[in-house]
Amino acid sequence: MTVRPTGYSVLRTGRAAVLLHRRAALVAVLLGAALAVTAVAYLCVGESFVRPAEVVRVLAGQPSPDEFVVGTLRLPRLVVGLLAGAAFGVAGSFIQTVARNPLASPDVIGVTHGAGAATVAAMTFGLAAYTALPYVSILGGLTAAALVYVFAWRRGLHASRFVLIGIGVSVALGSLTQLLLTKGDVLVAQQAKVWLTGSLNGRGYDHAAPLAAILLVLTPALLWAVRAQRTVSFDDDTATALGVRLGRVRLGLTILGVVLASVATAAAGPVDFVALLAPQIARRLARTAQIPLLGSALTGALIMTIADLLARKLFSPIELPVGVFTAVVGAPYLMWLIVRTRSRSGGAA
Amino acid sequence: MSRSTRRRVGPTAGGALLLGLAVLLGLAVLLSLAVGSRQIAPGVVVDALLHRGGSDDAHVVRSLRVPRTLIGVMAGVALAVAGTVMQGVTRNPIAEPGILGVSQGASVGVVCAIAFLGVRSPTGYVWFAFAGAGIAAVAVYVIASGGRGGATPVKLALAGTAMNALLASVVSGITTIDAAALDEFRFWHVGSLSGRGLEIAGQTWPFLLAGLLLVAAAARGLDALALGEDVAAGLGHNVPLLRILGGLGATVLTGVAVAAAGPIAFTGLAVPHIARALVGTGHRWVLPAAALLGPVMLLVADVVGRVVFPPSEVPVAVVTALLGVPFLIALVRRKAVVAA
Amino acid sequence: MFLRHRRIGLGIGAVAVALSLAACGASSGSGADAGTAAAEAAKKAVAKGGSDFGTAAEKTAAMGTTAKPGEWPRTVTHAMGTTEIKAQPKRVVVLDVGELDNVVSLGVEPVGFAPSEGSPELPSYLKQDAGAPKNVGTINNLNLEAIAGLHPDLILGSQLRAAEQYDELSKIAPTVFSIRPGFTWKENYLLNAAALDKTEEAKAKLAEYDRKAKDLGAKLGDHKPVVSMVRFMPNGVIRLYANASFIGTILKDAGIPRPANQDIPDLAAEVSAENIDQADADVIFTGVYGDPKATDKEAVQSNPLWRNLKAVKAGHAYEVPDETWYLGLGVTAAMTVLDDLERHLAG
Repeated sequence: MTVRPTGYSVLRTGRAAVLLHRRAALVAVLLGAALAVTAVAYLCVGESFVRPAEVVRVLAGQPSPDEFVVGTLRLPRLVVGLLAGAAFGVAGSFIQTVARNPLASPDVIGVTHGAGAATVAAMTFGLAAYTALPYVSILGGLTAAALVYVFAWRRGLHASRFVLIGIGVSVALGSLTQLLLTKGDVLVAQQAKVWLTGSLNGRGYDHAAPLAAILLVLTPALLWAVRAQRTVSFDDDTATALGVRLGRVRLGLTILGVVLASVATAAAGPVDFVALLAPQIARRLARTAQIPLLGSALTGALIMTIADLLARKLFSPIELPVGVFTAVVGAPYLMWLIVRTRSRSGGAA
Repeated sequence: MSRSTRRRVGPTAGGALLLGLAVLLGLAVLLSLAVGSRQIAPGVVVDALLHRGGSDDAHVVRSLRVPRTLIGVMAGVALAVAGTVMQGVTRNPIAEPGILGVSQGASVGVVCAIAFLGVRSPTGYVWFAFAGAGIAAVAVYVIASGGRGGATPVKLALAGTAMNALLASVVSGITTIDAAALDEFRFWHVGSLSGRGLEIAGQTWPFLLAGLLLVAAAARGLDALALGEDVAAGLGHNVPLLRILGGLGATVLTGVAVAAAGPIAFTGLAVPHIARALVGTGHRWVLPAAALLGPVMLLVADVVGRVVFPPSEVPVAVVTALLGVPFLIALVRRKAVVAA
Repeated sequence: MFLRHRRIGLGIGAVAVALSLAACGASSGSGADAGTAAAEAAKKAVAKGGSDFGTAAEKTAAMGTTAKPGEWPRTVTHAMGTTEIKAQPKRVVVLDVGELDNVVSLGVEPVGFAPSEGSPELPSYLKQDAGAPKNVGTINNLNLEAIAGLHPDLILGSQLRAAEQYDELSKIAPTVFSIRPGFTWKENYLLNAAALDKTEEAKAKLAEYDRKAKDLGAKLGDHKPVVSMVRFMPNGVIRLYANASFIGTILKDAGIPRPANQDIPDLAAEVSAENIDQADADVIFTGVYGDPKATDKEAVQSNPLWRNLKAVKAGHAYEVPDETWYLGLGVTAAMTVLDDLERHLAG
């Protein structure tokens, strides 16, 4: 592309060149800094306060009296939160980009409810060992998304039809979950309820490992997706003129989004609204036309970390599920942005 | 949203359809009275209703099935009409009390009343359900109207979703801290017709009537609004007043439904779409059709919930969703999605 | 318009199939840690419908220790493997009401306790002797940091409740898990006692309980009344408690007969308000879980159907405290239940 849009810089290393949106880059740097500060605060604060210096010692692998609390209890949980939050954010950004609709997040198209129903079914009927639950959950999420797709496909997919059917399938799966909870063993039902609100309590590296592995495997795909996301936001005619095969690009982005959301749900439970809110917040911060991928990931991770910090500390020693606070953190901010935004409303908003 | 998808029925066809729906409702009421986890012969049911029989079966019909059927009819009418009006006022096909955060607002009102003000009687709850629903509805609308472009469908749904998330968290927070409120809240958590007495119907019917009157006052304007705000204004309608009337009516109706049966999602979403598929888009026909279809859906769902896992029962809110979704999917696949 | 390709559905389907294969691989337990795999299998079977729902008691009975009284360190075999306890535990954390009852009845004041989600306080029947244990989260949402902060030297819980946190818990202190709470309460009691070196006391308590139950049975003579257990739960759920429940075991021990629909090897049978006549017997004991208003209690009991029941007409329907009859799950609760039974049946 020879035309450089305003607000963009070209970043060159050798022959490779990346078109960089200056404000988006600045926002990403600031979000990264905020995330780093939050992460340190997360490791310091808890039932007992651990000084930052001691946290750094633990992170550096040096012996410390706080090694158990910081290294064994807080760090794995922080890692799961960061990864899951980032995965939710990215998943949301893909699906919202493809659908050109902020409501078509993984929550709405059935992924989280599918994962929830599958996991609760496995728990109630004792079908799977608890270490296999993440896979059951991924399977549930993918199945639900496939169902929504199949039901909504009729000579192409119309965005409203897709969202409407997505909401329908989500509600049905939510009810199925309720049914399983009332019919199953009381003790199992109580555990399932905690999982269903989305909780990072008791999450450790067993949960982080599959998440990290899948994110790692998907990295090349994510790099491709950055470019793909831009082409999808063109209208169909422009894309065709540029020789982009939109069908394939959209297929790829959707599958990526669904996989990421399912994996994150498997790790953290069906935490609502991170995937919905993070891309919207990131886009409004960066003031870009399209949803910034890195910004969404960082915002998702930030929402998740702050929310879990509050969930751990606010009513201590009672731990609230993180899902309670993702909404408390994200929802008012989104409301404020809706009120304040002076730019485009209709289609992309 | 193109004009070609709009369809209107003539008075004869519309009247015949409404008559058909009324017969359907009659059948649903009979079904609800006759079928349950306890086997009672239809003859005994009729006998129990007409004479003051003293058998166990007669007691079950009169003291358990009649109240729940009545509450089912009231909640069904309220939810379906509220959903229709919300979809009309917001010009948004996925608007309904649940999605716009109004049901959740009513629930939060009730929970706050119990947890902080010590309100313990259903007569007290009702008012807090209305207040909560009203505050949530106004807040969502104000937020969505902010910024440029006014309350577009997408912004409304987005604001509603955010409000839902926030309120759900508030409820979780309160119920975690206050265990007594938690126990009470279970009652408000999954909508159910079981165990509701006649006195709740007695307390809420005036509000149902008031809500329906408000909606009736707004009905004509809703058709004009479907063509666009500018068109509606051009046709001489006061658009803000129209929205306030419709919104108030829908809020009161949602409050009635939540107070009577707890939150029941989906009826308010699915029924208006089904009604429009049957009688076209004119609100003169859609509103009565929805008012007849809503209770049919709720009662049939409740009956299914009573017989599917005998001898225990499945809450009606669970069944409405499971039954309503396939219906909605089939409908959405057949028809183009209409905004209003 | 978006997503024009049919292949999206196929693609998602294909990934789903691939993952289901992965899930099967994972659940068949090819992991390196055979111990954990076995524990998982056990947990899976414990849940309702599992093959050994009924054998959990026998399995728990086989656990415990071979150490002699006063012998430290001792190795305790339990649901998650074996654990070595170095010395007489002084700071005990209990993760459920059953364990709380167990240790309190053995004269141990725990330092930490996880209450149930519904009632974040000590059960009133144990308040007097339980000391002032710190709250360590709730049964299904343990706060591990709070537990670590108490520096316990023994943690008692059950696999069904907290298997997932076992690894972290066992790093904080030696952790002993029974298979499940509930009808296995006697076996769980002996397992907890083994970890505390109080097996003799526990056996004495159980013998006392047994004697008391037999005495009650003898007092009631040959024509014992048939007892029905009705519990009103939120959202219109009404349960008739059966043999595989805490209260079921107590009634069996006293030789008190049950109606046929409750004489089944399951936790409970469920009925609806319409079928409350199925709850009839010579005597009915009713409990309420949580707030009565959240249940169908009032609707059921104001109904002529209820008033026509044999037991209700004869004035033999009694309300009993839920926290001892249904939530207690330990020997102290069982003794109180026997007192209540004696008062109502033999008084």
